[in-house]
Amino acid sequence: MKAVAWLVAAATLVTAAIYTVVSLARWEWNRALFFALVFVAAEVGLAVALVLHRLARVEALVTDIPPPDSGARRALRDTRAEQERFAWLRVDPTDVVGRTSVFITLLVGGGVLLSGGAWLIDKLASSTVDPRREQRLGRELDAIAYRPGLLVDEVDVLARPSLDRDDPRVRSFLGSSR
Amino acid sequence: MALVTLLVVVLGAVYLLRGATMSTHYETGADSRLVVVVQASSNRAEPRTTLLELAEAQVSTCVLQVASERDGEVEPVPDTDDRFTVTLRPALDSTDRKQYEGCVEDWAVAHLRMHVVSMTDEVAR
Repeated sequence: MKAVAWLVAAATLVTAAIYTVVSLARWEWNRALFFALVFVAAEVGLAVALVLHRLARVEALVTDIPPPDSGARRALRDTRAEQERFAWLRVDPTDVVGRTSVFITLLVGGGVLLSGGAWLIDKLASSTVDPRREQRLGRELDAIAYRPGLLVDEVDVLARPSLDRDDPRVRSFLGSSR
Repeated sequence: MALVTLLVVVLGAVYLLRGATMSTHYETGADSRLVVVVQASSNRAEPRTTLLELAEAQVSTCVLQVASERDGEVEPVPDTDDRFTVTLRPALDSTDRKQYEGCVEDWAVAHLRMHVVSMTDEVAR
């Protein structure tokens, strides 16, 4: 497709040039101007396409070239301290005592996971078991509770200096106990 | 080598073009006349504009570019629809003939194309 475009542009350029010269030779000034305009347009188009083509080639060449390694950058890289990351994960197969590194990590991590699970279970249990248990305990206490008015509150009795016989509850108690 | 060849070709073309376009005028006689027959065709012209009017405008305009004047009206050639004749006085020299023919066949009037069929020198009456 590009070759066809180049060919068409070149053919337009050559044809316009020929017609311009022929028109000039025939004293046809308007035709000569028109074909000259077509010639210039084709020439500009071809020139721009050629420049863009060359630029694309240069761009491709520049892209392929690795960036220059400056001396300062190389010196920094060479003098950089070795930083061993995750060294504690490295296990020496001959060192039996030091093999606990990963185990400790797993132990701690497992503890965290277990604690989280336990906390979750406790939350679930507290929100489901306690209300039912309280309800059942309430029913059992209601079954053994005294009827209202049957007993004098011991706090009231002890707080009084003498037994108040006028208290209907006391009279009722004394009367029923006789 | 190619550059030299190209240079020779370009310079040769310029020289030939100079010879073809350079004006060289001479006297043709005050009573000499030139009968020009043209063939015209129009495309998408205005409906009220006739082919004769277009041809007359073109040949009359081109007369202004040469050392001559129109002698009489632009008349249609008998038994034709697209051919017209115009007489110029005095007759044109060789350069003016090329210039007039080029002007008549040029794109001067819109929607009109003309072709010079013949240029005939006419003996003075």
